Amino acid sequence: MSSNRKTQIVAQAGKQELFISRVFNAPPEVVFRAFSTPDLLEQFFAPAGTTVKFDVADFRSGGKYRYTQCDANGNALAAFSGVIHEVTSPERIIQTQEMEGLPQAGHVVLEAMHFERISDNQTKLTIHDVCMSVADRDAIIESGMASGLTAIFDQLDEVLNGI
Amino acid sequence: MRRDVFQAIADPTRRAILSLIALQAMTPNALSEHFNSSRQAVSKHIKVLTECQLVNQVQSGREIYYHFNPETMKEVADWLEPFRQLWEDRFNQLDSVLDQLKSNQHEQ
Repeated sequence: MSSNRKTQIVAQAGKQELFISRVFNAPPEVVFRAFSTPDLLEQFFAPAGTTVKFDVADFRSGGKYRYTQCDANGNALAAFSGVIHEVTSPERIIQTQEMEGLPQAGHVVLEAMHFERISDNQTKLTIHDVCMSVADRDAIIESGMASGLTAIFDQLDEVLNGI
Repeated sequence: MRRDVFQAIADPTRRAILSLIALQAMTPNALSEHFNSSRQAVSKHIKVLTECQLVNQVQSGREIYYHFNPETMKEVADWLEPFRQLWEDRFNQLDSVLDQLKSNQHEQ
């Protein structure tokens, strides 16, 4: 769990938006492909101790997607879906995202991903999320603690299995 | 409790108050001189900041001094950390995927 702190998160207090950015050692075409190909997304997008599986993945302007996140035993933890507003290779993906099964539906996030060419072998990705309320934005950030817990619970399972 | 901290620092006047007293502890009079609003308005802000432990009030002789409490702000910075770590892990996995994609391209 060593952190090399390459990822920048900007989330100002009282705002509905958040920014996630990171530089990758690959051209924009390659980074873009990773974010618009379900087989590749499934290889990196799942938080530690979980898997993600796409059952809808129509990555084009006007398309849609849906994926389910499962724990190590294959139990579904959450499903996320949205419509794709714009896919402009290799510059930009704009989409909506909603977590399914919340007590109240309608907590949608507008998400824009920008792939900026820094050099022929370097790309800066910026993900810009705009939420419907400050509370929604804060809940997304706090969900990071939940995924930390998932990893801890998995380790706990391993320990318990060893007893 | 932590939510209150965010409501507290979402207000621009309260952020300005924190910036001032972070430099040096101040009396209510000295502080209100920095703002156009009334002393009552400033003291309302101070009440909010004190309630969520961003400000400590310390009696010194006949005067009260407002002190900034950095421990609470540290909690605010840490609030983002699990979310940042989630993306750090995700992007580190992506690094491996990208390396693979690049080497596949070279083979073609």
